[in-house]
This record gives sequence, structure tokens and C-alpha cells, in this order.
Amino acid sequence: MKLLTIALLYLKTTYTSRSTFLFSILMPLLFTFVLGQAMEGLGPEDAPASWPLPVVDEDGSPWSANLIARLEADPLLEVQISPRETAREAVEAGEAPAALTIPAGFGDALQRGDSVTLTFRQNPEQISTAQLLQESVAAAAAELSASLAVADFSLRVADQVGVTSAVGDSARAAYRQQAFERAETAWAAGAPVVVAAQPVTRLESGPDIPIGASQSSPGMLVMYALFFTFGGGASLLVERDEGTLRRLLVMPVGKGTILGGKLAGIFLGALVQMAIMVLAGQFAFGVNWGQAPLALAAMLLAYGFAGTALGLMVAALARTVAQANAAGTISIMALASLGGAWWPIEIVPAWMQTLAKALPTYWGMQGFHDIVTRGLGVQAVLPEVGVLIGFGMLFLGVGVWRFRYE
Amino acid sequence: MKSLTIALKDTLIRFRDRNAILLMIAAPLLISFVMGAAFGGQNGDTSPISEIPLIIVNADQGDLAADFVEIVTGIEVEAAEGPHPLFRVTLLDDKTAAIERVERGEARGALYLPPDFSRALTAGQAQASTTIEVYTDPAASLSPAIIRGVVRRIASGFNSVVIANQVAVEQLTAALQNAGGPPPAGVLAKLDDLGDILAAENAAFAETAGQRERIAIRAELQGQAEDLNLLNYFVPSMAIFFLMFAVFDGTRSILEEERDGTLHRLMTTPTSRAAILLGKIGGAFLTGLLQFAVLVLASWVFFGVDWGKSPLGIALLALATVAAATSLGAFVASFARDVNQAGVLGTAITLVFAILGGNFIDYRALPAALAALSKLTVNRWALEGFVNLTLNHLALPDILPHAGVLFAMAAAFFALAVLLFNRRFVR
Repeated sequence: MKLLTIALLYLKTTYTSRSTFLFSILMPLLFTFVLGQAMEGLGPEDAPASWPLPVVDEDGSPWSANLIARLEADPLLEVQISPRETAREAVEAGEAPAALTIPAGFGDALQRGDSVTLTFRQNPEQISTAQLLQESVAAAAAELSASLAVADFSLRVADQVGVTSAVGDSARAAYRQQAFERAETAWAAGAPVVVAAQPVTRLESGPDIPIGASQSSPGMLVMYALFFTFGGGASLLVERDEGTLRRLLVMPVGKGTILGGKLAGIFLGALVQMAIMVLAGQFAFGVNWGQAPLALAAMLLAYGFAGTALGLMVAALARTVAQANAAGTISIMALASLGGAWWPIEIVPAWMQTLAKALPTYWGMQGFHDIVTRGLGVQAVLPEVGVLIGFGMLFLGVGVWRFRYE
Repeated sequence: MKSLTIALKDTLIRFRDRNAILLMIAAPLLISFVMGAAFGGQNGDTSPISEIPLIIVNADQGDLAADFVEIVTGIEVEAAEGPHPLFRVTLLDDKTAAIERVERGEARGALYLPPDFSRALTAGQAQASTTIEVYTDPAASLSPAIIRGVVRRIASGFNSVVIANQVAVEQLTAALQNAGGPPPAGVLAKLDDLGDILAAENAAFAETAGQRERIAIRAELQGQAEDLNLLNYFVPSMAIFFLMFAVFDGTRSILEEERDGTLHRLMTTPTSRAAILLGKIGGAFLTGLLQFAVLVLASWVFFGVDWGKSPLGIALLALATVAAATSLGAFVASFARDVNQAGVLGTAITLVFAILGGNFIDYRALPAALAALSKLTVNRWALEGFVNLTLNHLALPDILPHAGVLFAMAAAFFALAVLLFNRRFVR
């Protein structure tokens, strides 16, 4: 079939070019790797059960000892009492994700009923882990604060009833201290309300710590597929400029077949590109691409279609190759960053997340996340597939209408 | 001077090309804008995100559960645009449906308050504890931590009230027992009102929730000042990234002229070969410098980017960066076979240097092996210098090493380029 011949010819010329190897294969894999590493690509098997936490106790009061004992009781933390310099070096060297400093005067401030601030110094290379540890430290500090608040409460009630209003300061202090100890006992016996949290995923090995590659692998796939398809669109313009397209038109082949053949070639090439990234993601980085093959196939076909059509549309709307390249590069970077390919979409303001829904890259990322992060199947990705096909039809319509063959 | 004429001519041509303007100026500004919109609200005082979609399933009929829901719904944070609710709450009756929505990514989290919630709190310690279940979106990194933190703090508050009442009563009982004799009449009267006293104290307890957190935790990044405005990192970062594209494009023009024959024609004129080369490379240099200047100004005026206290430092560093980038571009053009190969190599080097040099991700987040490679790139030295000025608010002396390294790179690459070009054009 003539369409298929044209498609295969496109693929052949594309893949024999060395730059294709560089940009379609080497570069995206490099980016996936580096970005995944930077976002801490720890798999659940690698994640340790507990983390070292150097604690610098510059106070040395029973209060700081109390806080430290609480931290030691947390299974997530391996408390290491250290001098200031040792703690600083440990964090800098990456041996510990963060270090906690309890300043001098901590105990006195709490005794007086004042507030006090602890310093939690984090290693930027392990920011996710550091924030997890910060939650634990904050929880321990909150409990200590709570016990103090209970002690104050009890004293105030006693004052109002009249039991402690007539006695001296030291007796009041003793009353408060006893209340504090009772509060501690009560906490140890078990608080009435307990919080149990978990991420919901149907993946067998549910991760507690975000896997960097689960974001960067689909993210880079979404972006590099567009580099490929936009390059394909630009190649159409090059053929037009160099006159080879006109030569094709002379043959007894319809315009539709020619364009269709080219687009089919670009589409197939994009599928190959994405397949390579999926394989690399699965086998080199441990991303769960393969857990729902039907869903994956549907998403790849739909996203490939949308990307190909978009490449055509941009080429059709541009007047020169240079313009197509410039506009294409900017569009891809904007689409990728706004659609959640560079960073998880949930960290941007709500209005930006709403805006993102107008972009095909957003839907691509959502569908791929359904597969690799949430562990869902084909039913879950059907909405995304539908939207992507819709985008594809729209872009195709505009592209075919506006494309000039000479 | 002939070289200057050539340089100025090239620069003028480039700045008249609309596509070039698009890529050189519009693109970095656009991307910086996107990053600014995404992260711009993040500094110490404002919340990074707000209106997190959260589902609450309240299976309890009691007042305390209703209070819990009201507290969660009412939390406001100071976002860049003013106070905003932290959560956008949806109430559902069905726990399974709620979990399904989180699974599909329609909400970032779901809370489940069990039917015995209020009862467990009012009954006190004697009862078995009750568990609030929190389900979070695995594809999210920030929201789950926020949701967990908030729920734990509110739960802790409720627990505190229960324990406070329990301890207060226990202590009173103990104090009265230890007093030896009957309590004074005033105290007896007050004991009748104990219920009211406790209720009033509970109300006050709730009011002063914020002040109760006696121990605050201040998080700092190792080796960095408190300025967390990511825009001050990413704008210089994108400026450097797009600078590389521009100067590589500029130095490639030598090869374009070689291909088109106009270079040969230039060389037949009385202008020396050296002057021509210098002019061409100088053109790329001027273009880069101009682009950088426009970006600095535009980002300062439109996005409020703080370029630090040292204009001299910025100028010096910019000069050094453009020099290093231009020389690198010239070097690549000097040994490339033709325009196309130079283009491919140039783009490849730009991308690899960008990712290693910290243009897309914080270079401090790179693991050790890659961190070493990072120091070989122009991007890394330039970015670190700019970050010192913008984010860390340092001064001119602190960027002299970076400027020095960049100038050294510029000299080395330039020397190599001249050598290779001379050999190339002696035909």
C-alpha cells in the first residue's frame, strides 16, 4: 500500500540519521536518569527502615532530654547525639538527611511558659527524606508542647477551684510539674485518637517515599515524544522547501495518501520512541510501566496520535522551517512544564492546575501516572485516552486544513 | 575597526530576525514566567500550595466529629494572592467511593472519621482508641505531607483536651485527698461548678490553639540563606540555558557562511582572516550579552526578580558567562564538519550541560558522581555565581572565583578555536 511505503521510507530516513539516535534515544534516557536521581530514585526495596538524625543538645536540661527520648522512641529515627560540628559535617557529607539543634535555654523557656525555636538543617540532596523526618520531629515537639499545655490547663483549673490560689510559687510549680508527668503517662498509655495514613496505590510494592523516576520517566516520555513529532512536522516543511514534496505530488498518488503516509511514518516513529523510553524506564529505572499492558498500549497510541497531529498543526501554521523550529521548541517547553512533565502538577497553584487541563501533555501525564504510580488499569485511563483522541482530531483537522503543499 | 563592524552587523541581523527574538528573549521569559507562577509563591512566609482537593467521609454523628470537619475546612493559609483555604473539601458518605477518587487522582487525599470518633473522645482513656484513616495520592509529593501534618495536629489538639480534662480532675482529686481535712467552703462551692469551669477552659484551649505550639521548628537548607524564592534560581538558570542556544547559533554562522560561499568572498577582501573570525565570534558575543542584559532587565521589571546587591558582580559574571559560552560555541564550530553537525553537537552539548549544570534541577540535588561532572560545565559555574548573588545575597568578592573559572574556560576554548579555524581555512 502506497501509504505504508511512504511511512516506512520516512522511518528509514529518520532512523539512519545519527542525530536521531542522539536526540531520540540517548538524550531522553540521560534526562530521565539525571532527573530521577535528583528526585531521589529510591525504590521501596532500597528505602531503609530508619534514618540517622544527629541531634545537637546545647541545652542539656531535663526538657531537652525529654524531647530526645521521644525522638529515640520513633522507629523512623536513629538519634545520634552529636556536637555541632560533627552534625554539620554529617549533613554536608550526605550521611544524614538533616540535623536537629536544641538551643541553650530551651528548658528554661519552656519552664517559664515561653516559646522556643529549634533549628532543623536539611541536606538539599535529600529534601524529601528530610521533610519526612521533619514530620516526625514536629510530631514529637507537638506532643511535648501538648503535655506542657495540659499542665498549664490543670494549674488554671486548680486556681479557679481555689486549691492552688493561696499557696506559694514553688508549690504551684510542683503542682504543674505533677500535672505534666500525669500528661506524659496518659500519652504513653495511648491517646484516644490515632491517625493512620497511607498512599493509595494498587501497585504491589506501595512506596512510602516518592520514587523520583516514576515522575521523570513518564515526564520525559511525554516531552521527548513531542520533540520527535514536532521534528517530523518540521521535516514536512523542509521537504516542501526543497521541492521533494512537489515531486511526490507529480506521481499518481493522492495528496491525502502522501500526507497520510508521512504522518503515519511520524506516528510509528513516535511509538518507537515512546516504546524505548518505556523499556528503559521499566528495566533500567524500575518504573512500573508493564503492570497494565492494555492500558499502556491505549495511552501510547492515543498520546502518539495527539502528538503527531500537534506536530502537523504547528508545521502547518508556521511559515518557514525556522519559525516552526522556534515556535516548536517554545511550545514543547511550555506544554511540558505546564502539563506536569517537569514537576508533579500538584505542587503548583490551583489555578495553574485548572489551566493545565487545556493541554494534551496534562492528560498524557495523568494517564501515565495512573499506570505507573497508581497501579490502575485500562478502565481508569479511558477518560484520558478519550480526551487525547479528541485533541488529536482537533489538531489534525486544523493541520490538514492549513497545510500548504507548495 | 573591521572586526567590530562585522560583529555589529551580525548582531543587528540577528536581532532583526523574528524567530531569533522568539527563541532568545520570549522563550526564557515565558519559561521563567511559568516557573514563577508555579513556584513564585514559595518563600518562608507563604504557603506553597492551597485549595488542595480533599474528601472527608464523616461516619460519626456526634458533635466532635462535626467540629473536626469544621476545623479542617476552615484552615486558611497566606498564599501569594492573599488568604486562601488550604483545602477544597468535598463531603462524601461512602468511604470506598472516596478512596476510589483518590486512586484516580481526582483528589489529593481522603479522610475517614469512624463512627466511634466522638464517643472515644468523650469517654476518655478507658475506651479503646479510635483511628482516623488518611488516604493520599501516590503521584503527589507535597500534598500528602501537608494533609498528614494537619490531621495529626488537629487530632493532637483533640487528644490534648481529653487528657487535659482527665489530668485536671485526677490532680484535683489527689490534692483534695492529700489535704487531710475537708476542703474550705469556697473550694467546695467551686467544685460544684467544675463542669462549667472545665467547659470554659476547653473553649479557651481551643481559642489559643496556635499559641499552644510552644516548640517551633525552623527548617533550613544546608549552606543556604533563608531566601527560598525559586524564581531567583530559575530565572538566572533559564537565562544561561537560552544564552547557550543563542551563542551556539551565532558561532555556527561562520560555518553557514562557509557553506554559502560568502566567507570565501570575505576572505578575498583586504580584511585579515583573524579580523573576520574575531568579528564573527564577536558578533555572537555581543548578541549573547545583549540577550542576557534584556533578560536581566525584563525579569527584574516584570517578575520582580532580585538580582542581588551587586550590579558590578552581575555585570562581571554576565561578561564571563557570555565569554565562556561563546568560546565554547566557537570551539564546537571549529572542529565540526559542517553546519548540520555543528547544530547537532551544539544542541546536544547545550542540553547535557544544562542538565548537569543545574538548569533544570538544583545542582545540589545531584548525586556525587554527577556532581563532579557538573563542575566541568560552563552552566554550573555561571549558575552558582548568580545564585550566590541573587539567592544568597553575597557580594562581588564571592563570585570572583566563578568569574575567574569562566574567563579561564573562555580563554582555553577560544585559543583552541582559533587554532582549529586557522588550520581549517588554510586551503
